[in-house]
Amino acid sequence: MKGKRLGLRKYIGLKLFKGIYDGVVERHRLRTLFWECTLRCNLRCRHCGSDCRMDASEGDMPLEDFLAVLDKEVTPNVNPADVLLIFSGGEVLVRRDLEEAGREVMRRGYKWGMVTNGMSLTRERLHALLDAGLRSVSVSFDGFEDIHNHIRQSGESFERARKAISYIREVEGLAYDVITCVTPALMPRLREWKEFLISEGIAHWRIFSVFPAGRAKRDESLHLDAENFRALMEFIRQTRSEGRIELNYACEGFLGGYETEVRDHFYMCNAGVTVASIRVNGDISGCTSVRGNYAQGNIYRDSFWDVWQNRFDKFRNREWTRTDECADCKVWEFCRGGGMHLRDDEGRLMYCHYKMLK
Amino acid sequence: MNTKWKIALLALLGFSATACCGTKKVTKSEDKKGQDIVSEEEDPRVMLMYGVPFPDGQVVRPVEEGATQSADAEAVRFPDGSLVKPLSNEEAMAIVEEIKAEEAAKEAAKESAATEE
Repeated sequence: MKGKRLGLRKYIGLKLFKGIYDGVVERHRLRTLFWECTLRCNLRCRHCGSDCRMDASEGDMPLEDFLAVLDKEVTPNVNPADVLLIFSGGEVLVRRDLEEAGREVMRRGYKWGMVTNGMSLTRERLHALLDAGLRSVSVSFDGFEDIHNHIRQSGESFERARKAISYIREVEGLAYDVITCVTPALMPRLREWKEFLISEGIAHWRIFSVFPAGRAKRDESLHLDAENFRALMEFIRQTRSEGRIELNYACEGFLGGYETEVRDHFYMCNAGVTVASIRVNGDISGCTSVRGNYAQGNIYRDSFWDVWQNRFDKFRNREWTRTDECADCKVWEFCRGGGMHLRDDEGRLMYCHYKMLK
Repeated sequence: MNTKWKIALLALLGFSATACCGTKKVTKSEDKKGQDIVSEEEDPRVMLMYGVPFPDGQVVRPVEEGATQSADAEAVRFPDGSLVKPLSNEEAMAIVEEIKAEEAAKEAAKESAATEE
């Protein structure tokens, strides 16, 4: 199967969008702030990009440390209503003070959301979190019971995630989606999986594929080959045209002819452009999925706002990515070297989605 | 070429607004009698790798079973100033039954009067 070619209409569209995106980079407005509040996790997933485990070597960040940054550095410089806070991990529900954290950020006018594996999300906990201002939640759901439990390395994880999703669906107005990491084991059953999700009443679905970071780097069985990756793009395109479930491919990389057909928008990596993160050790970086050594400061040493304003050049100007295979790539102007999370510590590209589709 | 033109051209090419920009933030200008609309450009929000969907709705908690109005709920004050404590479900049902019985008795009385005539 050959990938989809980038036609003239899309090429012109991308050229126009490039100018719009330059404006986004120039304005550099903070729209999303991740707080990596813990690296502890109640699962030990094979594909974890963060290498999380229950006894994380790094302790949780105290809530007051995060709130101090919010009060002294962020809130005076933004309209809290325009900035989405995302609590991420690890597994955020292992923190006992999550409700308190939610209440504190809600009191300051921020909307907040969280990503969870659903293992310990009971109806009662969900309602307590809603009272604390939870407005958006994403749950990982990686396939049928055998596949999900294999990846998650837990016999209960599928059923628990399924229950968590059913509780979330009961709440009118709560933004949510279900995230599936598509692995080679799921590919032959992907249509069946879609029907299952629809039958469960799930309306919002997001797909991503494993990228070589953390634990996933060492497990080849989780990686899609080029043939499967192209088939996945076709599957997403077809599913979106059916209109029975809202489906998007994650913000992973530039997809050539599939641009705007497998997700709602043109490709862009907003890490460090409109997105910042405060890591569990205080590091200030772009998106939490960027695991490499791209921290530009630390809240325990530096002013967060100063770092955001003056030290994020590496994220905002990606000229430095024009090396190796990107050096003379004809779509670099649209792709700008791919997602920052696809770069290793030395800045080398680990995975090129566009190349996979050629 | 400014952003508005680029968005317009993208629309002509068949790309939706969400493909290239966020929703427009529309605010009424206070100092011009609310006539003028000021559009402020928003940056596109993309679904981030470890992110969550942007919330735009009002959350409505589901009503839990058995969580209907309790008899101990706050009393209601009528315009004349009198306080009335809301009825429990059982009390309300008992009154409904009483009314039904009264209506049935009235109907029966009407019917017997009609047959006597």
